[in-house]
Amino acid sequence: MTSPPPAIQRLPGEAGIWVLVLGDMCVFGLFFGVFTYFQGLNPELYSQSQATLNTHYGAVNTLLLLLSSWLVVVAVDGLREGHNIRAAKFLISAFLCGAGFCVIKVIEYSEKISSGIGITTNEFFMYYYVLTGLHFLHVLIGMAVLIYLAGKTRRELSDKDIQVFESGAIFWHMVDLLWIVIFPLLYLVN
Amino acid sequence: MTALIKHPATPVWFVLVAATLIAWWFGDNAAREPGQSVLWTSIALIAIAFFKVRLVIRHFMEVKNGPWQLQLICELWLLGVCGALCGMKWLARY
Repeated sequence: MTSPPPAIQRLPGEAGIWVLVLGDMCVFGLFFGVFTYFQGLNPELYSQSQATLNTHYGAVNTLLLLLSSWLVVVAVDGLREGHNIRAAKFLISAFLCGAGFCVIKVIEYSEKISSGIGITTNEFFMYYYVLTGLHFLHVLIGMAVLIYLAGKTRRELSDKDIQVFESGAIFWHMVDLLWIVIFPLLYLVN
Repeated sequence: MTALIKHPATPVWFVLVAATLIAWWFGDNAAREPGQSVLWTSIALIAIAFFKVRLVIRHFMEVKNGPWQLQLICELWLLGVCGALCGMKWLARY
């Protein structure tokens, strides 16, 4: 009886993107830890402040980013098989999901600001604005990357180009996974 | 359409959506009911989040087919951050 062939191990994307992504994940990991530590020191304040957040916004945004991540996975697979036009459609759809996330975030911010809740209101909202603001910046960068990649699909792609697509996809998935943690941490865990 | 449904990422996506809906409902309703342990509901919500993150890392970022060093770094990050958050929740009782 022959043993199964070993699985092919391949670094997805370029090495540089992993340095950026893992570095970013460590910085956010530190933020998550600091937030949870101070939440433990002042649970009443955090719980009362958290109760003013609309969990529906956070959950719908999670679903939008999950959908966009799936679309990006399918787009990259399509490119590997040479389906450039289909891949471009999926990338643009993922971009639109990102735009939907931004619209909801802007509505949420404007609701908070119009009811007098800002970054200086208390410790919880300082973390709320810093964490969601930094993440929002990542979403905007990710959306710019998606549009750039969608434009690149119009020409013949080399193996090197596919690696660039994989790198862009990895960045977008990081944007998704950071929100997966931010949502329960800020909106649900008390 | 059939190709999309049969895509290996699709069942993973369904699990991610289901886990999100469960956490949303749990955090919004069950966890706020009187008598519910704040500690254990918090730990459950953190654990669900990191379960989802692991699925994204392994299946969407394709780390499961990557070199073992990358897999190890990702697993250490998951264990480190998830463990630290749950540990701090646990210690906050004292």
